[in-house]
Amino acid sequence: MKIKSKYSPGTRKFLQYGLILPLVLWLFMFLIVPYVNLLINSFWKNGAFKVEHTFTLENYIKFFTSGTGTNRPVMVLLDTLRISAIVMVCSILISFPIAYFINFKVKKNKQLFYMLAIIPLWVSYIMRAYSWRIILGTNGILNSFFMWTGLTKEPIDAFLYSDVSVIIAMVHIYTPFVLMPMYTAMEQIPRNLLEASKDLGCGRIRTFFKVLLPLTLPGVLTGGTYALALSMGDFLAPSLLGGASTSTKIANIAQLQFGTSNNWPYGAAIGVIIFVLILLIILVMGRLEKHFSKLEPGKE
Amino acid sequence: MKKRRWTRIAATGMAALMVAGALAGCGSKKESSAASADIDWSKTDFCGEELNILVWEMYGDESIIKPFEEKYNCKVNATAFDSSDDLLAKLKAGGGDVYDVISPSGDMAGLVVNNDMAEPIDTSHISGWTDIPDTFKLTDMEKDGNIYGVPYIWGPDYVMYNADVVKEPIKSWTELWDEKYSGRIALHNDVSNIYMIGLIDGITKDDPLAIYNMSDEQLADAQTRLTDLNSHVRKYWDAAGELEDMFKNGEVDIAVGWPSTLKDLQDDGLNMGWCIPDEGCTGWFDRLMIVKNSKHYQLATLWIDWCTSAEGEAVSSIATTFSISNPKAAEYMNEDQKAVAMVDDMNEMFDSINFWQYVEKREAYNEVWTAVKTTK
Amino acid sequence: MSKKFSGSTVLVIILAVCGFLFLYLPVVVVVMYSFNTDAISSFPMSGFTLKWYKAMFANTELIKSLRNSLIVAFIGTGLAILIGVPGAYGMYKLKFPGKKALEKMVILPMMLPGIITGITILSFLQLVGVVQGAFAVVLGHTTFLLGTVLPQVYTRLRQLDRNLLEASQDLGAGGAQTFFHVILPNIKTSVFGAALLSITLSLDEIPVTFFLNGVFTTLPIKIYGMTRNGFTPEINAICSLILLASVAAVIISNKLSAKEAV
Repeated sequence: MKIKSKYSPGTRKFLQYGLILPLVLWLFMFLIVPYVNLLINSFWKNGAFKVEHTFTLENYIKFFTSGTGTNRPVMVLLDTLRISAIVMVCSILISFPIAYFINFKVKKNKQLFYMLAIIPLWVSYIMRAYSWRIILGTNGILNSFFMWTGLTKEPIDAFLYSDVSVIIAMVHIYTPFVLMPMYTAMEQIPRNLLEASKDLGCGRIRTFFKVLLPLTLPGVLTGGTYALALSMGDFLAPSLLGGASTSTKIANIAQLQFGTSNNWPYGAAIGVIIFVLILLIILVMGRLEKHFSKLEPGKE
Repeated sequence: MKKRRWTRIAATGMAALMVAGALAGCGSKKESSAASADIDWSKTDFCGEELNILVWEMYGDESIIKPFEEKYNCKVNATAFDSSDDLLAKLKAGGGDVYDVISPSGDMAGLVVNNDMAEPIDTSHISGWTDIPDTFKLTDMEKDGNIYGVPYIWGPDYVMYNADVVKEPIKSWTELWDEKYSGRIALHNDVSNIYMIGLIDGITKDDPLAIYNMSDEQLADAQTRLTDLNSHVRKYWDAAGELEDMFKNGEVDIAVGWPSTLKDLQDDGLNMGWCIPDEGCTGWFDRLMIVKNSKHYQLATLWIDWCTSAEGEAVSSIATTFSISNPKAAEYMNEDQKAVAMVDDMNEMFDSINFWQYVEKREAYNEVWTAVKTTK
Repeated sequence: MSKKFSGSTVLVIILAVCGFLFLYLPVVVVVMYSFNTDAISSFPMSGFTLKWYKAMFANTELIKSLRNSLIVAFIGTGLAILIGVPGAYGMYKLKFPGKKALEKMVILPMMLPGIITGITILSFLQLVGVVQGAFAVVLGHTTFLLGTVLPQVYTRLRQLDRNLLEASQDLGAGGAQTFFHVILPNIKTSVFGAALLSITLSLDEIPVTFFLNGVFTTLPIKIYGMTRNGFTPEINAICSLILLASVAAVIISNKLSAKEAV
């Protein structure tokens, strides 16, 4: 199978663009067009039984002005963002030692340990969320354990059907997503760099903060972006594990508009707002990532 | 290379399909839409034609589907929906291209008819039609002289409780606001909680349907009072399975729910009681309807004919514990089954229930309900 | 360097062990309750039985949904690789206007809420007359799987030594030759890893599938339905078996790669 360069430079260029053509076409058809369609829809008016094709800003106005106090949709969005931020931080805090441990403390079978951290993804999302009911419930595993040890006398019911259980479940679900890029980032740190730092008399702690952390940060930020964005759009964990006033997040409100509220334009507007927010998150995180990777010692 | 392999896979697949078709011994399947005038109603062999029903989870029970499949040599695919939201989203997304029969409750049935999302039903082919009492044939099923739905089964949204903890059945819905139930209540995640406020206030005295058409002031008031109740509610359940789970795990003592859940819990050995508070309760009457532009109109009609026949109603009631709309079904049920479905007290039960209706201001109701759940 | 366990090493080990415990606690619960006698899972367990495994194998709908999920996962991943790998290579080799935007865009399908992606694709498919079902689900999955395949392969490509590419071309190798003989061997682990992750994600996808499946039921959708009504530990049983299969696959591949290394 020997292929000689039998094409003229022009044809080669053309062929090379052929490489990205399917990708661009696919993204255009199944990402750009649908989202542009969503954007257009968000400016239509919702009439009785059907959408009226008249331009209006009322869907956006409604989002930002309707309701009072915490039940304003925009406040629900902020509440969702708050929960997602907590999820992100917790996932990072849990992932970091695992990634560090596998990279620097495990000598043999690194890959195996790495896979062990990813394997929980193979158990159904729903079932993992469900397990937390058994673990965190009033008569659940955690409460039974606490009462057995005498730490508490009465079961604590705030573990389940509250923001606590929603956060715990999401942290569990999104931790592998944070771990993966973090692990990869650490894996690529040249070992001799760490040695060099130590040889230069930098202590363990200084090496950690001056070399290891900055070099891992891009991975941390990528992973953090995943956790933040994915938990923003998660409507299942809140509805499965949230309590009376904690089960409705922004994605649940969006979902409702495509159901009995039957207000697709408003649902579309909420979709557009989430889209813009996630785009902002990606851009800001990307900036930070670039900022930190410039600081990388030893590069060039 | 890759391409060639794909072609081969495709070719193999096609050959397999052809063989399967030949084995079935049927010619090309003819789709029957409502428009085709010459439907042969004596036909009983549908050559494996597939009927797609979009129904509440339990209505797709094996015991209901099997006899039908055998009788007409067809395949029934049941897709479950678990809330009116779910139904409407799926119906709008798929429509007649995907589904043939739906089982909306009263709150959605009117919407489906008014939105022109259903086919008229030829009741001359529904054998149970004349047996179903006229009082069950709610008028929202009619439009321009056509019938769009056949009453199927029904039941209450009543109060159920763990009788070990709650000693006395509650007399009034207002008892839910009592401190002693704080954190031990589960309510349905549904706008029906707003109807409850209307029942408490007795706005149904003059017009039973007033709770489905509450004024903005009434809705605002309901929002405040339901928000107060929030702190007493452990969780708003989304599906019957969740409620069962919560009772079983001792998370709640008292709830609003359906008879099927009560029976399951009793079968599991829990000491459960139920009651309907003095203000009455709401409930649902599910109808069977044919989806607009269904590709299997004839089979869909036959499905509705089967489900609402005396035997079909009995099988459905046994599978779901819900009440029947064809009184003749009682002949196919034993005493226990009749007791569970309250067949003998049917009329009394029917009168104590205020059946869900299409709410014209559904979006406003939803917004009130969402506001309740997001107020901290 | 680690002759003796220092304080920080001990701390790292403790934190990592806690992390693993956290990750595995729900998994262990899922597996344990597949043996529970009671249909509804509550603590403590009510007894030991294998009946749910038997019931699971007899549950044709459940098995069929697993089969559907596998079909979608493999076709979706295959498509994402076929489109994503050349795409990443093209992005790596070429300079073109809008490249930066494209780099950002490819991760969007993965980051955006599945429910919104699902509904937007649905609206689009309705416009062009594609009915809900297997085909629509594959389209939806491929779209978000591209968001996992492409960034991973692209990142790996950028870490490659540019000299490698130039050397290959200096030697007169054609574009295709360079790709298959020089590039591909160097990125094959990341392609493999991306494929594995894609399959994992596709097998457990709910939000996008939710709006696209119609009557085509995938395993997660089936499980979702069953947990809401008619829950039985058959779900735990099927999840446990899938887990077992994935653990076995990991151990075997680890053994194989260890052999390769020798």
